[in-house]
Order: sequence, then structure tokens, then C-alpha cells
Amino acid sequence: MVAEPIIRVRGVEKSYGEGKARQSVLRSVSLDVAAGEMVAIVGQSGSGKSTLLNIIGGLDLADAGEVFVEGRDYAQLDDAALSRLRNEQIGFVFQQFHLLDHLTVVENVALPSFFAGGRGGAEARALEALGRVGLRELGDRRPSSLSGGQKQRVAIARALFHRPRILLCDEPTGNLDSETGRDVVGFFQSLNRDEGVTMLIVTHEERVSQAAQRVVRIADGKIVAQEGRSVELPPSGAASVRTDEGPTP
Amino acid sequence: MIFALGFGPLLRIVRQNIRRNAKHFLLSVFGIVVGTASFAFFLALSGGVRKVVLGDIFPIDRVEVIAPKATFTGVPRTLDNSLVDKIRARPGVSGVYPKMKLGFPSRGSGKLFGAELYFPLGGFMDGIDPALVAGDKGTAAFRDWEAEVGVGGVCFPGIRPPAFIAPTEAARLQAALAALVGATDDVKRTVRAALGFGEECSNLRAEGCPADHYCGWDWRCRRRVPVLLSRAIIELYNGSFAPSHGLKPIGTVEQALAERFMKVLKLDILLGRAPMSGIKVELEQDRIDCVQGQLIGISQKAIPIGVTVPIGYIRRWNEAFAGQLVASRYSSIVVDVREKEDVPAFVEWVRDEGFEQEDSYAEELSSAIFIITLLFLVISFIIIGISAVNIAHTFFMLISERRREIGILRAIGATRADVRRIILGEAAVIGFVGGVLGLGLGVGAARLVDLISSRFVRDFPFKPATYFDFTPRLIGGAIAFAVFFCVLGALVPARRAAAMPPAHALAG
Repeated sequence: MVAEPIIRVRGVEKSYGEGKARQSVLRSVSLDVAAGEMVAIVGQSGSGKSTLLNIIGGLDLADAGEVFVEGRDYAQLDDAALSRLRNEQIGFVFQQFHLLDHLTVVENVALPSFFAGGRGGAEARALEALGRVGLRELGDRRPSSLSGGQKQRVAIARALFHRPRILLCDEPTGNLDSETGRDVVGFFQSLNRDEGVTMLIVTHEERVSQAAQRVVRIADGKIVAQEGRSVELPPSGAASVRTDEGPTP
Repeated sequence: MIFALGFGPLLRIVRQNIRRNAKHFLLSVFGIVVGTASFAFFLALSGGVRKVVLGDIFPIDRVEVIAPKATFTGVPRTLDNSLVDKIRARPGVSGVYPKMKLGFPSRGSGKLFGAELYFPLGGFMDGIDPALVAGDKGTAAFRDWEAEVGVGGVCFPGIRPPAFIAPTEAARLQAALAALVGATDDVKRTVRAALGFGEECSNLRAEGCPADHYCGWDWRCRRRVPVLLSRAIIELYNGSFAPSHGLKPIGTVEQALAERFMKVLKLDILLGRAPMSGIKVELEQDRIDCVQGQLIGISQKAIPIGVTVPIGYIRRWNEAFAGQLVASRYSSIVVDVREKEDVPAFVEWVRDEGFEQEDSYAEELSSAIFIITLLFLVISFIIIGISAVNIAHTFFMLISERRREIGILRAIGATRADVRRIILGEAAVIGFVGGVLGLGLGVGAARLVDLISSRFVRDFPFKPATYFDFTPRLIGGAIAFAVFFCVLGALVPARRAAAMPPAHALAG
């Protein structure tokens, strides 16, 4: 099967700081992710994996290179269009959960509806999203009263509120115990398998990367290896590696 | 600028943010409240003072034309109907109201709370066009009744016999006088003078006449002449005359208007005689007449010291006592100009015509009020400017605290403009609340000042019921002022928050 990549990154570079303090974080990174693929990005702290994820999610800007998501060139998108893309097509799950404590669980989940041009039925859809992560009954609670695992599931429900095609996860199990982490990973797998959501997960945990169809290794801002079984992509550049070996999802 | 955030959700976010950061905003709101209160208070005060000074005392869109006291040629300039017509034809003139002074000696007397008061009227009696006071409170009866309605039927001569005449003789005398009803005016005057009642106008009864009428010198029922007094004369009476004569003060002008004083004060006016008078007029004939006046109201347009009646009466009396010439000359002509900007051109024309403008301090007072208002406004601006800086600090601090939150909003679809709108929305709401509270404080302070003034400050000429003028424009302006400064204070923090890359914001 040949599929158009839903995410295409070409020669992306990123550095922080000025002058002598300038530090290169990403160096000519290229990556293709097919629709419906589950990819894990692994690497040591400071290797640039989160920065790559942020650039793909439009949360940060690349200094050079090209980023296409769903065929749209980030360089051509203005702030409003990029925001709309984040709102409708991309869901984010963070290690720190990033829930707003002054809102209830259901309000947190429904928050993306605020920026969706006033579509109705937000609460019902938020409850539906909460139902998908098994927390429908906790809608009226405040995030501060939830466990870490519950908080992460609320964050996942928020990410899924608009039924995005892409889910970008930055160390989603980093603050969870192993059992809860396993549950979350299992949920991601089912989401990917059953609903075809494209998943890009930044992790340093072996068990998470094992769940992915493909593992992309980053070191010193460069993709140094890609391993695993992937859906077939059209030729897209040197950094895109397809193998038939790797962990079975 | 594109917003993904609808107005309803924006309000919800703003409300939630303000509620949870209420403590942070309290200090900022306090500054806004004080600044807005002083802004509204001083602006309303200057508006109120301006209204009294330039509306009542020295109307800025009103010019009073007078004849010059001296001319180069030595020929005096007179204000007459030809000038009135000329002025009326001028562009920009919206009203022309001639005034005429009583041009011969006369005397007024009246009973007030049982005390008999006498006062000279020659020179202290003004005739004004009733149109000048049209619409003023309590001036509906200020009309030239004799010209409009005419005189009534024959009344009983009703001259009360003096004390030295025995009661039985008095009855006969009354009967004899009654028989003279049909006599000529000269006979009536002669009889009255011969009996020694000529100068006792109070002896004239109004028997046989309707209410509000008196029995005139010609033994015909005449409606009492409507009289207006100025506030100044009431205040003068209360402040000086009443205490020195052991009389009861009337109270405030408002009380005087409300109480029976207005209805009971009848003036007996003796035309043609006065104990002393500075007027040097050669009277047409040695004649006296008694007329009766009735106080009907208090007006700022009445002569400050003296009594004011419709100009028609003065014109007729002047003609009868001082001749046609005196009756054709006005003391001044009040001119209303449509736009105050037209005043200088009109005044120039008046001077070109050889007349003068009655000294008006409107321009000088207007400038003084403007400067004082400006000073107060600068103070208000400083207070609220400091508050705006405080608002800016508060928002910088809050944005630093809410950095991650801003990152989350951006991650889930908020545009930069949305972030700006949320912060500016919070500032606007704080400004609105501060503005409303400040306005309330300003109005409260104004009411307090008015209350203190009405209870503890003695009446003075043109003392207003309120010193403040809170117009809808001022109220809206005060709130807009508060909102504007709050939004201004939050502008830079909002821009900085919106410019933060979401990834950096999320990293905290």
C-alpha cells in the first residue's frame, strides 16, 4: 500500500540562543509519517525530539526546512490557519497534562470548542470524549482532585475532543506509574488501530516505543535510525527509512 | 485580525480569569475607581458651575445690547423698535427681547408676615418681554393681562374712610363715593386726593372683582400685575433685611417657591410718587395711580434688585406718566444667538452700529472654568495613568503566572489575536467595573457636597440646588475613560503574551 504522508518534514533546523550561546537543537531533520501510522520518537534528553514534535504541531517554528501536515505547508499558513489546524486536526498530549485547575473536567475537555467558531453541543461532545477514556462520571470534578492517570486521560479526552487525525504526544507516560502508563499506551494502540488516528509519540520509555509501528531515534538533533514496520510511503528522502522488522503493535 | 474565539466563550474565559485573580485586580481597580471618581466629580462640578455661570448668570449665547454712555457727537444713541427690528433681521439671531425701565418715581409696599415693607420702585422696576422667561418654572402667569384680556367691569370704589370719620358718616361717605362710579377719571382722582387716600394704595378694595384682581384707580376690576423677583433679592432679604428689621426670614428660595409666601405677597404700587428717587424726569402731569401687583415667581432673568413685570405695563405707565419718548426707549435689548460661535461677529456688528455690549464676564469666566477643569482633569489623568501602570504591572505578573495556560490555549487552537482579546477583555471588564464604581463614588461625593451646601451653607445669589451636572455624555465618558486606561495598561502585556511561541509558553 502506498499512502501520502500525513506529516512531511524536510531539512528542518532549529537552534536556540544567540551568538556564542547559540545551540543547535535540530539539524536537517527529515521525516515522513503516513496516515494511520504510530511512530515513536526516542532519544536522550536534549536530543531534540520534543522540539521536533513541537515544530510538527505548529507550537514552534523551524529556523529552516519545510513542514507539511495534511498537505499544508506551514510556511504558507498564517497564525489563524495554523491555529485552526491545531484546533481541528491535531491533538496534543503532554507529560505535565496541562489541565486548567480553575475549570471542571468537562470544561477542560470542551475548551477546544471555544476556539472552533462557536459550534454547539460542546458539553455533550466533551462528555462523549470523557466516556471514551472511561471518565464520564468525573465531569464535574476539578483536575486537582484526580489521580495522575485520570488527569492524563482527561488530557487525552481534550486532545480527542475534535476527533483529530493526528495525535502528538510528548512523554505521555512520563508522570504515570507503570500500570497506568500501560493502560494509556493500550488506549493509544486501540485509537490507532480502530480509528486510524496517526500517532507521533515522543518517549524514552521502551514499552511505549515497543507499541509503535516505527521507532525514530534522534541523537544530537539528527535522526540516526528508524526501525520497525511501517506502512509503505512514497520515496521522500534519505532520512525516511522503511523496514519490515520491528516490534509488532 | 482573525478570532477563533466567539464572544460568548470570550466572556466566559474573561469572567473565570477575573474571578480567580480577583485579589490581584483589587489594587488596580482601587486606582481606577479613585481616578474615575475624581474625573467624573470634577467634570460634573465644572459642568454644573458652567451651567450656572454661563447658563444663568452670564449666558454665553446671549448678548445684552445697551446704549453707549457717551458719544463723540454728543447725540445720545437710543434703543428703540427700529433697532429691535434691525437686530431681529440679523443672521444667527434666535431671539430679541427688549427691556424697559420704569422711567418715573414710584413706590412699592407690601405686607410680609404681618410687617409692612416700603421700597422705592423708580429705577428698580424692569419690564421684560414675557417670551424671555417662557418655559421657566412658575412663570406661566407672567403675561400682560391688560393688553391680552383688557380691564374688567366696574368695581365698588371701596375707599376705606379714615379713622377720624365717624362710622355713621363713613357709611354715608361710602354711599356717596359709590355714586361717583360713573364720574370721569379726573373727578375720581380729585375726590380720592381730596379725601387724603391718594397715596394709600392699600385702601383700594377689590370688592366686586374676581380673585387675583384689584379695584383700579378708574374703579374697574383689573388683574393684578404679575411680578417676578430674583433669587438675589430673596437672599438679600434673608441675609440682611430680615435680621436687621426683626422679620422672619423666608427660608430658602425653594421654600419660598413652595410655601404660601408666593401667594400672599401682594405689592401695592404707587405710580408717580416716591419718598426719594434719583430719576430726573419731568412728568407729563402731576398724577398718581395705584396698581396692585402679585408675586408669581422667582426668575434668574428678573432684575437682581427690584421687581420685574411684563414690558407692556411699563410701556403704558411710562407713556402715561413720562410721555411717548420715554415709552419708546428701551434700557437694553437681550439678544439670543443660535450658536455661541456667532457671538463675536454679532458683538462686532453691535459696536459698528454705535452700541455697546453690557459688560459680560462670560468669556473670562468661561476661560477660568476651562483652566480649572483642565487642572482637575490633569489630576484625574495622573491618578488613572498611575492606575494604568499598575494595571500593566498586574497583567505582566499574571501573564508570567499564566504562561503555561496561554501555551495550552494556543495548543488547542487559540490564535495570537484570541490571546490578546482575552487579556484586553479582562482589562476592559476591570475598567468597566472600576468605572461604574468610580462613577458611583463620584456621584455619591457630589450628592454629599450638595447636601452639605443645602444644610450648612447660607443662600447666596444664584446658589444652585446642585453644583454638579452629570450628563449622560459624562457618565458614558467616565466609564469609557476607565475602560480606555485599563485597556491601555494591558496593551503591552497582551501583545507580549500573544507573541509568545506556544512551545515556550508550555515549557513555562
